[in-house]
Amino acid sequence: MRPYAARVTNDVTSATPSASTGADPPDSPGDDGPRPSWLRRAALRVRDAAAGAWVITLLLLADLVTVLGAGAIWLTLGGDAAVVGVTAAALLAFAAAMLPLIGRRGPDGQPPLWPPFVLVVIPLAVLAVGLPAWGTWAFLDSRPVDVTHRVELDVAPPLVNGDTVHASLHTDDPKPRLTITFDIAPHDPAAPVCVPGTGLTVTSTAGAGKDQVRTGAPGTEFTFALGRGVTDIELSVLLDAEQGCEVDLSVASAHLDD
Amino acid sequence: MTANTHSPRRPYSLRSPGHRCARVAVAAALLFTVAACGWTADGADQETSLTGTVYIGGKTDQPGFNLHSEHTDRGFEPDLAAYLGKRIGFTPRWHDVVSAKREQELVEKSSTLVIGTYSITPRRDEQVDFVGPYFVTKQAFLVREDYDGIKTEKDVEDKVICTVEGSTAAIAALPGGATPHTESDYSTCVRKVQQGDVDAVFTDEALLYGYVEQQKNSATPVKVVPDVSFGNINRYGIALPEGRRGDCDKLRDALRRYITDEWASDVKAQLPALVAAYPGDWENRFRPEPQDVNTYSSCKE
Repeated sequence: MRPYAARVTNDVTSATPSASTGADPPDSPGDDGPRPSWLRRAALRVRDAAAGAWVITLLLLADLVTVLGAGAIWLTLGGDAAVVGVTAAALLAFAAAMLPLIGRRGPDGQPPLWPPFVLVVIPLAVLAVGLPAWGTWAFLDSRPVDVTHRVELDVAPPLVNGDTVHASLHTDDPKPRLTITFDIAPHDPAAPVCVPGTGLTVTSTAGAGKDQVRTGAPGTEFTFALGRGVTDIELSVLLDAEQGCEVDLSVASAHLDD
Repeated sequence: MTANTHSPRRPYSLRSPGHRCARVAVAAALLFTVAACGWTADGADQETSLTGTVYIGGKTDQPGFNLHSEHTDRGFEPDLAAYLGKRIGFTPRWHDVVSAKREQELVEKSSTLVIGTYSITPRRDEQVDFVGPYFVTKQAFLVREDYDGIKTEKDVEDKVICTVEGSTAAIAALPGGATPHTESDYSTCVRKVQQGDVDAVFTDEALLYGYVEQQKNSATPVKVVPDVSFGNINRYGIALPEGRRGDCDKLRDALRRYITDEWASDVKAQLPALVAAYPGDWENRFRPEPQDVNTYSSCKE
């Protein structure tokens, strides 16, 4: 049997003494032992470091904190409770299953190589998956939410001077600030131009930011502070127009953001 | 097969001196052509039509604004055109155009400009460009001086009201029950009022005061019904064919200056009945603000 074939038959619970010391490079001239991969070297270091029971306890504790912490954050961000529970339980059960294996000794009296390493890999894997996912979520969550097409206007066109329109918006993704822009178009394009002379007074009529008043021409961005957790937003829009001016009101854009 | 057959062909060089010279020559020729045609990189037409004799379509039967008699055009609009001509460098020449054909006049390029109590509307703005407003007016009713059948807005409901085809007054929402009667020009409407064929003429208030002045010494003088108004505020604009950005800019700048410099004196001279009807207030009612010219013109700064 070729030397390489002999090395690949080794089991995962033990390692050759030469590799464990690290003092004698396995690929040095005259050494027919395998060259350990970086993973194997890492596993060897963990096994050497985890010689005491207290280290294993610490590793278990780290697993517990990481898995439960990640699960709690996942739940807070809207994760499905069943999925979160099953995933966390599976990871913790897998970590617990390593304990009997760690207690065993190989024919050479050495503790097994991989079970202690698994206890390190579990929290690292959770962090490797969780941190980018949390970063992506944070980035997406920080962007304004476009709610333009979800704003409902109780409007019966055409609108004339003094008419008030109620605008309402329900969102399942509440944000503390609303930026909304209204557009006004002539109701009858054959009638004399009058839109440039129109103005709007927009008042928030519900929520923590109630009674905020903004005025401006059509196309102006009106910003309202809503407070935390407001899911139902209501505005009243008062039209100021010159005599005989008939217009149609619409929402040009509406965004919720932080 | 020889080795030469398989050798890769020398790639065609885009940077060969001959081709480079050709490309430079073509680019220079294109640049020259574009410059000669008077087009800038943004596509704006810099070639002006406002030079020499400029044909202006107008309504030459409207006293106060434009009345053609004894081979002369007199009124506020000829005064405005004369000012613009002097400032920009052209000689206005008027020809008559009815209300319903003002867009067509420009689209078919029969006129370079239309200045004829032409209200700026979004629909017209799709077909022609506007510079304005040079006059702002509500709409009102003209009746015989001895007629008192219309005192409030409600009184209009059972009346026969004359308007002009193609005008904004023709589409204004009159109270239900009013019978609209359409003519091709306002002079005919006024004549019908004087003859008693219709109860009132409905159009822009400023326009009506021209007829009040014109008919004040006639057998049946007319008056504008005070404080009775329907429809929109009209803003008269100077219309020109679409896409003439250079001309539009020149007219806009000149009109803005005109409103400040000579608008009031021209109104006093040409529309004395209007000035007399609103002593001390006529400028507030009918004069546009100079900055409005930028707001309502098709070409903005």
